[in-house]
Amino acid sequence: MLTESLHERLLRAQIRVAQLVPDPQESLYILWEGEEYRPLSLRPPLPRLGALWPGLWWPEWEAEELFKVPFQTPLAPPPSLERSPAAFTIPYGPVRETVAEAIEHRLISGGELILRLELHPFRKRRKVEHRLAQASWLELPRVAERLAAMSSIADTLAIVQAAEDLLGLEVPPRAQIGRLILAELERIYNHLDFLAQQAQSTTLRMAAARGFTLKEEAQRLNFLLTGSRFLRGWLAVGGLSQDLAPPQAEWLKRFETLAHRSKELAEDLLNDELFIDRLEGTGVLERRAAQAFGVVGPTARASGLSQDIRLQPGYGLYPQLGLGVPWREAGDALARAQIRIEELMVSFELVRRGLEELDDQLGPTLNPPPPRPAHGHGFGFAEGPRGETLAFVQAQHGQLRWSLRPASALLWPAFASTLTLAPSQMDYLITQVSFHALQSSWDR
Amino acid sequence: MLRWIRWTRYGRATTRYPQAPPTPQELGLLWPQALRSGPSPARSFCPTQALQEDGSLLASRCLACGLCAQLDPEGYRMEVGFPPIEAKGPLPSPFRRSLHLLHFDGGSDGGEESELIQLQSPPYDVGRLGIFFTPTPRHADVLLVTGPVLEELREALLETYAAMPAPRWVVAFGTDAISGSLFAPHGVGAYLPVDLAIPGSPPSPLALLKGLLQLKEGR
Repeated sequence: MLTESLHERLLRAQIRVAQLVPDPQESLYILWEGEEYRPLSLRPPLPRLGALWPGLWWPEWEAEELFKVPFQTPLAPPPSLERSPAAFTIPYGPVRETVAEAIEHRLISGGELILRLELHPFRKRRKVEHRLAQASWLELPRVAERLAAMSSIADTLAIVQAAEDLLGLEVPPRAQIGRLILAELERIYNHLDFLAQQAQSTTLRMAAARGFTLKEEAQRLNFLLTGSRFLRGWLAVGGLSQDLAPPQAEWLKRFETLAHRSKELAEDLLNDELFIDRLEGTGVLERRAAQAFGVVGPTARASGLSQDIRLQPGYGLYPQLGLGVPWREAGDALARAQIRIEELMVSFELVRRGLEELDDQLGPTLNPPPPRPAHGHGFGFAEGPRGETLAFVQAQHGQLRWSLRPASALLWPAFASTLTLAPSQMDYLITQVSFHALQSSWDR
Repeated sequence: MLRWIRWTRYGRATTRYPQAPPTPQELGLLWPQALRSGPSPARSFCPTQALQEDGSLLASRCLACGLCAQLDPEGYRMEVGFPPIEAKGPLPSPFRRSLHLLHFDGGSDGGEESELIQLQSPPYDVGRLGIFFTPTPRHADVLLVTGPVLEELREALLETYAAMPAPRWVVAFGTDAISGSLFAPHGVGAYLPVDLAIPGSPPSPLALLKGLLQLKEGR
């Protein structure tokens, strides 16, 4: 079949469309070709690639419905399974039964079986990219941090790096170490949040209480080191806004205790039969599907794709640190939990190493940014707790245009696909937690 | 089972607040304080126009992003503390011992939700003070709104509010919910009367606790 072979060819050639930047006059495709990103501009009407490449289905929907970009062919609805008279729809959200974001899903189910899950995103569309375009360099990271609180550092790092790429600005070594520490501290509290939520979704209340207590301790350490529980206010275009002072001995002691107790919790969870039973074989994302949806981060690594953007040459200091990339092949919720646990332990080690380096590497932490150029473009990418955030900025006649592709934008559609013909309704909650995606960063 | 009970050897995790004053790490929030009056050079850089011409700070717009303290260190300083909370109250006596909250997300960045989840965890454990989160508007006394209530969520907000039995109160949790700040022209106040406003982006969990105690007891 033609579509199949084109799909295969694109996958084999290691070219993938990482992002669609919608514009009714001239849209941009951002291609990942082997080692780098490249923009490709195309005048609408655009071809419909989402039918053969599921990862592009939602970006195309967004371009057509929200940005009014014309397409060559009409939108193909996802295949419908609810023909059976026994099927019924369970609506979830946007007002949820627990404290959660305004996530709107519809579960099409037939008895205990989940037939499929419908996503209804963009309820929380705040037009962040539009606001970013109006921001000065000083204001830019402060706005970027409000895209999604739990990935403040990852998203802002990508955005700030895109600005630096546009300006051709170097980041001083000390600021790079500071960024590494901040990024890893963010990963620590996010992965602890994941462990707590996953324990709660499997009804292990004691483990969840422990997890949330550890997350609180991690956020308190964030606060004591940086003055913000979400590590906000530190990143700047050209480096860091302030000098990151090495922490007190008391802080280091508490950090070690946190590392020890996190390890203990992770071991207890992985030795718990209930926990393993519920996660094993739940929400399986096969390697092929993971590629087709273009998923990133721990989710990709749990599905047998050994990729970590932190190891790309030119990505800060990580390539020098000899970081191993843990990966699994099962693609189920258990594999995702195992990957995150391993990453968590690596993150503790990376923070220790980063703090040591901070003592040795003295110097400035900021290269002040020059005014914005009239023309040009820049890319920025950062590996957050959920995977790679991609930011693209284009300058035209002194005006900036931003486009963001947060990790969560790839994770939600992949999550929904794993719930096609899922055996139990419990899988919905467990799988949703195991992808640990954020609605606010997808809706933007 | 035993492995989960072992955790108790680490002792008490819960804060002593409100019986004892909170420690800085429990407060968990830096808030800008104006050190002098008069116009500040940082004013034009404030992302949400929270700085006034006379140098004072409009708490309902402030994100506590720290840009003013960074650009004008003689004019502003970031200090650990509660954000300035505005509360109407006290509530009628049957509600002073126990409150049931329903959370509504009107387009937040997820930080407020994270802090609300922490509020129910052992370090804060609001249940001990008679404050509970409820899954349904029928059981709720207080609608806890985060985010500026975007147009796409307005109808859901009004329907949720209509489903709550009277008397009912509305809390705007976070600067976004109060004024819309960065991304929206208004907050939840454009649609519903706000009884308790807690600024911050996001506010700390203890700030909500203090605000709810203020609302209940009217002080």
